[in-house]
Amino acid sequence: MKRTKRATTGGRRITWRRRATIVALGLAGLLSAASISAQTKGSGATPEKGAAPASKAAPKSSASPTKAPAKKIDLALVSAQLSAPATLALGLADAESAGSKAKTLAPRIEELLAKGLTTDLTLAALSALGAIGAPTSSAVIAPYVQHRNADVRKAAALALAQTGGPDAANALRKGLRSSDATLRSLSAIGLGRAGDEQSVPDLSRAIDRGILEAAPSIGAIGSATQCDELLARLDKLPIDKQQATLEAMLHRKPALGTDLLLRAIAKVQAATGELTRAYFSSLERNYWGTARVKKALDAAAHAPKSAAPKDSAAPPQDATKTPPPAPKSPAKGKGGTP
Amino acid sequence: VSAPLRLPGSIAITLVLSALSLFGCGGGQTQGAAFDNTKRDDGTAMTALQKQLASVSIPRAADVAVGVFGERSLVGVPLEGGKPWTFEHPIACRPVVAGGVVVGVGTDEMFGLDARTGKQLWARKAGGCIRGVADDGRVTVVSARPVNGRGGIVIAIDREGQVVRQIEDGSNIGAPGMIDGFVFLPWDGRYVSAYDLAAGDEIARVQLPGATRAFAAGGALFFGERSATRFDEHVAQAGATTVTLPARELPDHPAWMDSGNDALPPGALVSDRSRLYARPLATGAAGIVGDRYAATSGRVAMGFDAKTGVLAWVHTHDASFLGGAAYEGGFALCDAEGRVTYLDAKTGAVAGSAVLGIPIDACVVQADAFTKTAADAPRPLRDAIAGALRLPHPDAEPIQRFLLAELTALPDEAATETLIRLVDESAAPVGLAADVRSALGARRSGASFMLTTLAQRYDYLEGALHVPPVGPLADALAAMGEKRAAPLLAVHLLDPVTPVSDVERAASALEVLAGPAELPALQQFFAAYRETPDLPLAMAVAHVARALERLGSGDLVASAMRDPYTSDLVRSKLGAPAAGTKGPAK
Repeated sequence: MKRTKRATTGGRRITWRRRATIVALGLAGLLSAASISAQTKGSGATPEKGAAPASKAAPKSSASPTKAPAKKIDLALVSAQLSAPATLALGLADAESAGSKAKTLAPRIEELLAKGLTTDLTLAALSALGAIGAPTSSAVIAPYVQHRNADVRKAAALALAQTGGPDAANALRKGLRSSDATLRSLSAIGLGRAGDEQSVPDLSRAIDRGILEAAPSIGAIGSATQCDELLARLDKLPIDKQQATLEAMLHRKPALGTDLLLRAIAKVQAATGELTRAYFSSLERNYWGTARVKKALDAAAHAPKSAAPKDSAAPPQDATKTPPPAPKSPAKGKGGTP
Repeated sequence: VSAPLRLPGSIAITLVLSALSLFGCGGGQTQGAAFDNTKRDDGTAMTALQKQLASVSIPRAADVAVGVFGERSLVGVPLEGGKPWTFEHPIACRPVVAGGVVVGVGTDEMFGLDARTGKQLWARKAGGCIRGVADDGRVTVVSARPVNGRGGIVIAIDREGQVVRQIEDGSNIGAPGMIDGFVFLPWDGRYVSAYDLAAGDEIARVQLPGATRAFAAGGALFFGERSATRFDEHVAQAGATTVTLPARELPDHPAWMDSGNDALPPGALVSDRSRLYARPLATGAAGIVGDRYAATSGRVAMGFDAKTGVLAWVHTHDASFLGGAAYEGGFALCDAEGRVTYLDAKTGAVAGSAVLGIPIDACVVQADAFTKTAADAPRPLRDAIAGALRLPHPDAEPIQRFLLAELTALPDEAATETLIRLVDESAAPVGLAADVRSALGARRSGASFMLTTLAQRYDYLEGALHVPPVGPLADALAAMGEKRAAPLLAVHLLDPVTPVSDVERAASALEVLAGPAELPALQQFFAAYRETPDLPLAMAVAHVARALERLGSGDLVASAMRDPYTSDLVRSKLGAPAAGTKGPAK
């Protein structure tokens, strides 16, 4: 009852948060598709005996960066499907399609997963629970992050990123320590999504160990101080990770301090130079935060070719005419005052 | 031990003539009646001779190492140290060192060198190859294998190079010994005859089965090959002073001494790389000096208790040992790089070295009065063995297996730690790795070391990238009934980085060790893998299922047997019918 009330009264905030999350997930999806495989090569991955080939029974919708619109669902019918082995796969697929609307079915799927299923059904159950997104599912999903089958591990990490909660964060933190490079990357991304600030020290260590997906996650959940520390070593990251980190910082709610964001923009602009004016233009169009930040993004998007600094962390000139004072002691886990 | 006088009676003037053709003219010839095989000897003559010679001191021989390199070069160095000498001459057979001389042969010429300086003493025309040499400082007696390979030739040469006596016979005459003008000639591997060099006559003989060589050590004369019998008042009696080394099953079956009937090629043989070194006691009861003998096997030297055969120390070297000698308090071992290393007999510690200065193909060492010991504390045997087990050379594998068995048998708890380290660091050669893991699994002590190791986990974030040897540790800890291992094993059971073969062994251990605290992990494992079609994992699931049943969660297993999500392989391991068939679950 209390939960329902919060969902209703906080509708606007949830919308904001979801919008930010959708963008973050989109980036995460892009990362996982485009760069995880490359990253993992340098992450000390060790192949495991007995693990299924990565192509086999790959999880489906959980890998998608955005959730498909939930279709209408007959919960009674799906519940019946989940009760019979012959129709279980169908029921899981329907539950996944229904997304959060199938929340009442989560306990039944959790029960099945806890007792154990075949690999295909395990993957389907993980995807369904991820799509439903109930934090209560995380405890059942968590052990599967340690499964010997790489596809199962991957599906579990993706599901945990969607279900969230302390159990998810704990499991994903374990994932950072795994020998599976893909799992490490997904765990880093998932921790950003799960929003557990306690994970930031591990994420910071992960960057040191070459798990660069941890940088945007720190940008998404780190305190202003932690984000500031991240900025100090942002130029050591590849451009795409710098951009992803900037975007994660820009779209946080509540927003990080303007001064911090301006420094982040300047840092990324310095690294990317004139070649990415279109990129900043896109950021500016999709940014709904403070006017000064929007202006800085606009300035970066329209910076003259020769004006683009290469190695300075200083904010763009037009954005620093009246620099706001940096927050003296930002609240832990929160941004400064916009 | 008395023997009928038989063979050397055939040593006759006719044979002398052919000997002369080999060695050229010179000195006295053997007397036809000297070895009359119609005479019988009850040991009285040999006992009398021993009594006669008892007060004669045998001069100490030169302490020297002589190396052969190439086809025409010898290099020598005194064991006390000093500048190495070299001598150029074609080398057809392995040179022999005795007393103060080195005797070599090549291109039909035999030569004698001062062992300490390498200075040539004499040279004679001669063929064949040298079986053995005796030298008393005035005369050198050489036993040689004739060119045709049959029988034996013995010549006695004085320092001027004159042949003072020569014998040729159809019997195999082994390596000679010498005291005060009397030459002791083992022959046919059964007898030792005492021969009066001046008179040219055999004056006594004793039957010593297996004796093919005579040699002096520590001022006493010995006969033997696999054992050593001292020439003392008991030599002609049933209770002769004979010492034998305790048998150990060493690779390549190293021998204490080569057969005195063999003449060796210039280059080292397998038997030179694997050899036993011991020095029989010169006085008192039969025994080995310091109760220690050494064995070499390639780059490894080992010290053993001479009474029990128990391994005492191991020395790992950076080059293969080719030859050596035992001295009072140690062993002088010569390696292929041309170094002579002195190892303390008690501890195996390096006591010093001498340098020949050039890599060599074979080495002969004589140590008589020499002594050198080390004051260093002995290295723990387990560490010394581990050092040998780390040798990366494939030819070391046989001796490494021997040493691994020794390490495994050590009661010392710390030996477990050594084994763990060897497995953890993958320090042993690939061919030996499985044996080292098995050895660890067979340990029944050192649980605290095992638990400490088992507590380690793969952690990418912390840079801990190695996986402990879960399988062997699980085997050992289960056999020891060490229940403290259960929570650690449960962690590794669930960790995908644990090799599947180790998972099976961890599960097997948990079947007996797991307690209620491990139930969640066991349930989790059972749920995750009960569908597996892979045999090792199915075996692990079966072990876990039995643990669950033992811990009161049998209903979980029974329920799993009723649904279609348990693989037939797992069912079969649990004695349950395949899915789709009716029948009660076990």
